[in-house]
Amino acid sequence: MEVSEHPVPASRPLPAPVVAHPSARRPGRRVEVPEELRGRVFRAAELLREARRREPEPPLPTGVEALDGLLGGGLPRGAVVELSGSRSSGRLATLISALAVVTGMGEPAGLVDLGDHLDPRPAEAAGVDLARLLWLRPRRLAEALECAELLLGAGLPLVALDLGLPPLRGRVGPGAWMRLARAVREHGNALLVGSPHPVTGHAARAVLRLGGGRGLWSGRREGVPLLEGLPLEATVLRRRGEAPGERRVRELAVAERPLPSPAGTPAAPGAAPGRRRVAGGGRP
Amino acid sequence: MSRVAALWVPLFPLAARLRSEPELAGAAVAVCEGNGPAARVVAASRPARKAGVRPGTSLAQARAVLPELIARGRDPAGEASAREALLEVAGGLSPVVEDAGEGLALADVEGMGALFPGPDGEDRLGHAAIRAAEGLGLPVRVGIAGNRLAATLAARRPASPTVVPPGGEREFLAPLPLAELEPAPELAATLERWGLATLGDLASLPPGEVRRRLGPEGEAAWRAARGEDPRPLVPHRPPPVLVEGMELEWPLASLEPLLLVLEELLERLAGRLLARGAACAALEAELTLEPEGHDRRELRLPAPTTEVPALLGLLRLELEGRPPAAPVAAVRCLARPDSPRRAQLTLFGAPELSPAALAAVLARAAALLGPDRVGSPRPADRHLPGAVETVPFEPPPPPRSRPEPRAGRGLLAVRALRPPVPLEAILEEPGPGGTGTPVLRSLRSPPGAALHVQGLVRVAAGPWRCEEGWWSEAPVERDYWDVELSDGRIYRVFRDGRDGSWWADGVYD
Repeated sequence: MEVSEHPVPASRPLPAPVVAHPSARRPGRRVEVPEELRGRVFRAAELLREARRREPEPPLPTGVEALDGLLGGGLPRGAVVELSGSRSSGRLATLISALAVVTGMGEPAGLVDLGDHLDPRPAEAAGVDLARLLWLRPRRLAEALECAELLLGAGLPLVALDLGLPPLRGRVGPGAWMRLARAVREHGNALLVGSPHPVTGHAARAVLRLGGGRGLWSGRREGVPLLEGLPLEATVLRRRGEAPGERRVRELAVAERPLPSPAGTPAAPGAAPGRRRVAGGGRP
Repeated sequence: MSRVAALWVPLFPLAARLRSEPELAGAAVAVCEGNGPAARVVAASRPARKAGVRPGTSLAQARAVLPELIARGRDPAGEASAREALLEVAGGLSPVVEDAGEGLALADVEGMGALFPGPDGEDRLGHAAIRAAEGLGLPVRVGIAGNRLAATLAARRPASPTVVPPGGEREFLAPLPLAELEPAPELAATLERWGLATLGDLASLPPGEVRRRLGPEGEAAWRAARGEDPRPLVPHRPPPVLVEGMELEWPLASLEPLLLVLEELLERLAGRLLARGAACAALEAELTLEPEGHDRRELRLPAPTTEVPALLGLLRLELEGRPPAAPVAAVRCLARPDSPRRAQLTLFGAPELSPAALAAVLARAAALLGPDRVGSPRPADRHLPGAVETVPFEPPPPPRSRPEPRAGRGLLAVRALRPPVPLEAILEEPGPGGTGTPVLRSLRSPPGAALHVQGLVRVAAGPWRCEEGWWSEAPVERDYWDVELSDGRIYRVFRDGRDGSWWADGVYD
């Protein structure tokens, strides 16, 4: 049914006439809503549009609580956020976490993967609904930006753009990032860029540098070490609306969902796969 | 009472040629059959006819009359696609359509009053058919009558559409000359000897005498002249694929002009798909090579689409990757139609993506990157870490209500390195009391490797044995370690059990 009698305050200006039934869309069959019902009958699309106008969409959580705190609740809609970090900084993990949150809410998301780095099994273990994830594998940086713009245009709520490991393949001018920022603002979705070093310049609303310390291992004393997680640490390099040079450093929650063992059967007696599956609890 | 609409394209070979080369419209064009001195004009455009070029004259004579005449050969591929396009226009009017020959399609339009109500409903129906045909590049004349013969003759009137009112077939046919029935020469001679000139003259003869003197053939002509034609329509089954083709005037050796031709064909295909309310699910291009040979390209589309730039981009990618081995003399494009994806709006759940926009984006991304680099990732059915395959992206519909975002679970992601990076490892063999596993001391990548890895091993966890495909020619036998180096980076490395070489195939990131 497209007609709803959902009560809407009469003070809001209404588009009229309102079509009452899909069949009425045929030319010559348009049904005018009677005068006395105008103001009370709406098309579903109008109700939706109005509801979204009244309540702007909340920021998209990244799934990393401390990072959400730094960003003011999550990834802002209509803006670019850049995370830069080198190997083992937790950059990909944060991207995967944000994708897991969005796909977990039943919404599709896009991952533009410049270095062809996605490993689907750990991503699935982290909660990403792979059926809702569109994965594009460009070869060059310019292609990656073009792909991101395409996905933003398709209306995906979150597009994650991972630029892989240095050196970046290809170059783009600073105008390319501004163009992406305009596309994000126009479509109201969120763009999360993961890069080995800051690249977006002034196009991003916030640029954070990720850098961890040492890996978190268990069982080292017993001689059977097991990788449990990576410590994440974020530094705000730049955020629009704040004085330049202002920095905030925050220790983030530990990424610590243990992976399924890469192979399955341990070859050495000391490394039992069961130990790798230690249940991931909160680490203080 | 049955009603039949006839859609007739006058000078069909010329119309098909102009559909392929619309820039010739308005010029003096003649379509010819045969080669050299035997070439005869089959159809000529109006400026050519005004100058005196008639069907049947030889090309030499036509050129003598009109030196600037543009002559084109018949284009079987173009005519076949024009014929299909005409049938699709007729199919837009009715499910029962007959292919009644070159440039003529018949449609059973009985009961169309619901869609075109009123006394002038059939007239509007005719105009709708003319507009639809114009959209596909065909000048069509429409006749609507109670049977196929009357409808066909009505379509041949200059005024279009010509609607013969129900029961008025005999009056409509009466003033038409007998030649319209195209009787056999003997019968035509007999009727002429009798002094009959029009169909009305023939219809007024007594039936018994006609049967006795002219036999069954004469009786059939007599019935036709009275507006009686009991032959039902022979339904045409639409082909499972849509075809558009063109024979080129001269073979094309380079890619750019060929892509221009392909764009033209794709635009015609997209128009026909839209007329059917369908989208292209798979695309094939057949190239006829000069002097001999064929080249056939099949394109996998991520989602049904009618976006010509995206389809052309995919074809460009395919042809640039593997150019045709010889000049191209003819092109055919085949599109398999499928229903486009539909979306249902939800009031409370997450909004669904517009399927049409998504299909267009998928096609454009596939055109940019190649179809194998666009899709939804899945873990491949293997034991090897990092094994991945892609499937077409078809997101399930969003849940009816929007779930609250979950708290972060914390995670450990692996950045897969494809292909793996070779490593040089320094090992410490275990002593007599050791566990039997070598101890990793340091790792470094050789100079020139895709990724620079170097450092002392701070922590190493493993090994985990991975074996698969031992029955195949390329078995996998690996021992995996998680290794943290002195620079703080954590790698997933393995030792190949067959040759003892070391590799990094992932970074914990």
